Amino acid sequence: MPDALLARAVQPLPVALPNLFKRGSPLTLDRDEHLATIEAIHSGLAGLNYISNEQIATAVFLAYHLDKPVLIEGPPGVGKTELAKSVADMLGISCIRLQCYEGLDESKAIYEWKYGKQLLYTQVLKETLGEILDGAKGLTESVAKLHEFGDVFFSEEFLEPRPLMKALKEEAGCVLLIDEVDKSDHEFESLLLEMLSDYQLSIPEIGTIKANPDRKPLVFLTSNNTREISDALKRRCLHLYIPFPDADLESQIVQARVPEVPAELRRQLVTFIQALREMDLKKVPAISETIDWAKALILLHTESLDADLVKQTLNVILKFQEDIESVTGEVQMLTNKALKGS
Amino acid sequence: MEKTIVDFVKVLRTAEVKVSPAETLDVMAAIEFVGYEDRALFKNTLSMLLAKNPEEKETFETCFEKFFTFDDVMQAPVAGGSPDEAEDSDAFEDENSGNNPQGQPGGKGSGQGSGNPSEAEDAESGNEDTPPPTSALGQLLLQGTRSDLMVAMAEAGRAVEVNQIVVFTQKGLYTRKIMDQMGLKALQEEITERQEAADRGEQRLAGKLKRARDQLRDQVRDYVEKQFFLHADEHGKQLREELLKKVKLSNLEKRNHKDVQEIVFKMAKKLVSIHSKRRKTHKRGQLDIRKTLRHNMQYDGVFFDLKWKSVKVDRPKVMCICDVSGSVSNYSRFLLMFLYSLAEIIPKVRSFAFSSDLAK
Repeated sequence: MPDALLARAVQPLPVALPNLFKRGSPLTLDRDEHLATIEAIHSGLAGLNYISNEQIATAVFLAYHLDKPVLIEGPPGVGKTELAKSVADMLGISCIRLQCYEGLDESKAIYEWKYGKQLLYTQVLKETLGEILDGAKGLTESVAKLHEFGDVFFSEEFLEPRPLMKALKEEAGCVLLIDEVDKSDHEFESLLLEMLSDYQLSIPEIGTIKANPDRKPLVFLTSNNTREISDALKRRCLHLYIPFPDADLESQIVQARVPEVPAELRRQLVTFIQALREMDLKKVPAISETIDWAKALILLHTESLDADLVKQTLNVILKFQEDIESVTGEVQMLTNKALKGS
Repeated sequence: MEKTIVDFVKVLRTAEVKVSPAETLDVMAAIEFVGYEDRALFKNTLSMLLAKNPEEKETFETCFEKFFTFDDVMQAPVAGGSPDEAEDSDAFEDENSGNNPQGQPGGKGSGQGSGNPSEAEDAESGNEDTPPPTSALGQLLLQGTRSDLMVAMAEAGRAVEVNQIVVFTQKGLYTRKIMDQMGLKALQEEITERQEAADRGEQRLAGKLKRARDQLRDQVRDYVEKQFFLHADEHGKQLREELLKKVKLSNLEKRNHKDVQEIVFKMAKKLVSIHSKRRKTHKRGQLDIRKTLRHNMQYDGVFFDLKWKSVKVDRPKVMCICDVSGSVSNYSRFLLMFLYSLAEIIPKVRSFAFSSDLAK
């Protein structure tokens, strides 16, 4: 039984390698084309309705060519997660996502042993032990025989890969998105270091697992800045800060995401949102809220903003009652301002 | 150029942007890839590799603009500049035009409103018969382009290590040093020599060189001043901060309060980030199957020693009772500032102050 297991563990490798080789060349070409210049990245992302600015495109460009992870920071809702997904779509590779939270540990992020199977295996081993040790004389010989069939207990057969390891094993490369890394614990950050600097993971029982050197995963980490990320982690990453967009860019984004919105309404709602961001609010509306609002207004068959409508739909863009209350008084003024620009 | 990058990193460090040697190496590797031609790309690349939080990005922005901008040093003409200056700036704006400012007709007529007309005429008429200057600096001043001059100045600055400037009073010294490095002595000699010569063209050239020299001195002074702000100003601030940290609270003067507030804020932030994530493992919480299985393997896989996992985040609660009466006002001012900074970061800060009665 153990021999059979061993054989199965070893067998797939020689078959898998030529396969990978064959698939390799056209993919590389394609990806290189997409990431050859900053303009290509710009237009590639724009084709997927993700409007990037100079910094964002440069970050993706450098991440690919320097093999460095990108740490994206910025207020919630400016498209940090979306960037990783769009890049994966653009390159036609899978996006493996690891959502961080307090208490996340290696068993959820890197790997886990299949304990049930391992237990079963020991049971089976116990039953077949007699056969294996057949003919052995004395303890020394039995132990020697036991050593002969290798250590299958901790082998890849019993390994359950989690996102980080899956990303390394992805032969065609992938985008690895480590979302909201600031929500995880300090210890978890240290776990990430090896992965981020050398694209490898060490499993004490097996050894080191490395990524395909020609197709290292593109790693994006996002953070909402709820706590300071350690210097060690920052040092290994490119740092990209995505702020709230200016009116022009925001208008482009709305146009790309919700093309049904007429130009005039788009200008009005962008002006309104930009004005809101200047106010002292608990949570200012982000791009995602602008897009939601635009969709809501389309559903309500709106052609132009008016104070009553804005009051009714404020809860789409503002997420705190206090904010809604403080803005309600100003709505008339803000709406007039937004309308005036036309 | 590597030296320039290292210098820039030094500037960032004095401006309190933490840059590790590894990051400097990363920058070198990245620059090999992106090159220097595209300024925006160069800046974005550096920004991504060196500045790693929003505050640092801001600092980076100002440092970068100060460090990598030379043009305005050279473009700002000194008041009452000679026609040469105008010609020269024309040559700079139109980069493709010839390098020889004497052959530039555009500069003559426009000749700068503030310039002395008679002087301009003088220079104009002398254009044909002035001999070329012999000293290296003289040649550079009259025949070189602005960028040549700028490069020479920067090189001289590097040679005399202008980035070591520490206090304001050293400005004169460094200006002189840079001028010397650029070959002031030879120029002086040439000027004296030509002034004494009988030929009118020679004398005119001497006058020209003299004007150019004075202008150069002003420019070098500007350059040194910029370098001072870049390298020493922050350094001085650090020195002041160090000093303030050690000084007795009761001896603080009113003018220092702003600096103190900054320091206090930094201290509070450090304190909070250290303590906000203390973990405690409890005898309750989620069953840690992995640990339990592993641990119980020694008992033949029978679970009788269960392991739990639970994390408790400990956020500090700060409660403060403070005496604000006159005798301790200096100390309490510091403490209240500290608490105020803390309150911006930790949600639960409650302070009570009293001089005779207690109030919240």
